[in-house]
Amino acid sequence: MVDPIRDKVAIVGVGVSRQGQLPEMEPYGIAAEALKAALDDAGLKKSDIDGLSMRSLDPIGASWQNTGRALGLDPKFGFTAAYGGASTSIAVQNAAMAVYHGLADVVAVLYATNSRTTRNRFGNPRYEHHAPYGYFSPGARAAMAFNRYMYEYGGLRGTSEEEIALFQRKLGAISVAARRHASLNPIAYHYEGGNAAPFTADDYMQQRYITWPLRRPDYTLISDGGGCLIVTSAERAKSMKNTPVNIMGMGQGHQLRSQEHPSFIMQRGAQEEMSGKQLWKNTGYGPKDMDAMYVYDSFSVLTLLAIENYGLVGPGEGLDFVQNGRTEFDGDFPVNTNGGHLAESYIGGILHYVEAVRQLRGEGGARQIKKKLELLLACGEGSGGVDAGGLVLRKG
Amino acid sequence: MAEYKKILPDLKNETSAPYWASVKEHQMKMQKCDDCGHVRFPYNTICTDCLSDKAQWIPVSGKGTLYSWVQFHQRYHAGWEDELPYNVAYVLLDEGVGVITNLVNIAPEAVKIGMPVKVYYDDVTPEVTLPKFEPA
Repeated sequence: MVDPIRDKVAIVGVGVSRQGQLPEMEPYGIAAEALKAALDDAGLKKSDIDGLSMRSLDPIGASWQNTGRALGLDPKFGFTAAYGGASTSIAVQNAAMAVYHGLADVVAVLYATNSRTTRNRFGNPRYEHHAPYGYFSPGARAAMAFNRYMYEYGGLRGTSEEEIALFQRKLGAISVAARRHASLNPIAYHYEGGNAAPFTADDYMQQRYITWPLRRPDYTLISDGGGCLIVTSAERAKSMKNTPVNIMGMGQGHQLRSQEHPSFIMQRGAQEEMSGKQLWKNTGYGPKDMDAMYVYDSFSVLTLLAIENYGLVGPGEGLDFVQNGRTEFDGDFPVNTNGGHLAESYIGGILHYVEAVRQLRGEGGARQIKKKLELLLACGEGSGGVDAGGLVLRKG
Repeated sequence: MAEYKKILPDLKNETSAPYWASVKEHQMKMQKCDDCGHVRFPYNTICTDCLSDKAQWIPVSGKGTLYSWVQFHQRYHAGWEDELPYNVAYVLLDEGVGVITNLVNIAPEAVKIGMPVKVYYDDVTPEVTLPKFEPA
């Protein structure tokens, strides 16, 4: 049965704060700036907000209650999403459910951080079964996944340097697309004042390793900034100023026994596949119906695995899929046209939703998707291979 | 002996103390459920298969296969500064449990995913032994 929420709830406003390095600001102030921008975009006032659904603000760990207090809200509904990189997707889901069930009329979905200024480090650097071996940073799992990927799909039991380099070069296509998108996005780190030099696969292969087999461009950019979405009923959206973006359904999966089992590394048969199966069942759509994708990409490998785990292509086919500019804004299947976490900034996945909404409205500017754009997949995974959530969005 | 500068496990953590004590004795132990036989790691109060709260710390084989591995080039902590790049591995034990560890007694170019490995007890301080792995 198709989820009855389909076409009943919409995103009607998006906004962003200043981005980059904001040493004079703290997360609440950044959140306030993003909220004001989203309210302006929706044509609403702060007093219209009666729900708050959000990933906790980093690095202060502010819940929805702390944030709502700081923003002077008295909402009917609140939710803090503690799902790592899946948090923003699941915060959007909970906002939609609250609106659908009448718990709130207008929900703000928020995230803000000053992790760059505060030199915040994500992950638990002292976990007793990892740290004594020097295993640090969430990116190390992505590196584990990519090495395993090369083994499973490359027949690399006799791995040669040449074979590894071929795989890495193909993975580089994800960073190449991200840099191209960022070069067209004025709030992106790699916009570089409009003077970003073209970034090629050759350039990628020259970058230093962080954790082999991954290089610096495979990793996100820790940033300061915030973003906000305004969610309300599709009925109310009809009388509002912007083209609404409708929520068509959602999926989640969680693999809590992660460290016991190697599925946490590749996410096969685990949280992301679960989320995809549920999403396609609930929406009545399939992966082939999607025109574009916005995926939480703190590491390039997460994009590769999500493309496969949501069924856009089969296991082992993702690297070939992302070649030849297919995932660029003028390609067959655009992905993260904002530059994503790899080249725009790390704002907890919320700028991906801001961009998705703007693209569906046709407000993508120099990086507006060229092909027909009606339906897209937005998704994220987090907590080191534990949580995943995804939604289908459609132009209302 | 030079001062050991890397991060050490907290031996005062009661839940994992039996594990660290077992590797100190060069006999790695994990929890095995008395009721269903499921072996689990890290420590958990109840069996993650059958929910029984009865378990013993039993010796495990210390044998397994290399599931994946990486090499850290970035300096994250001063204790590893002089060893960059160093390896970290994920080993799947024959009991079906995965562990993060380091590979020893093997050159990087000889490491192959899927290779059989066995535990190597590295007595890094007088109090702490870390279970690392070497080719079987």
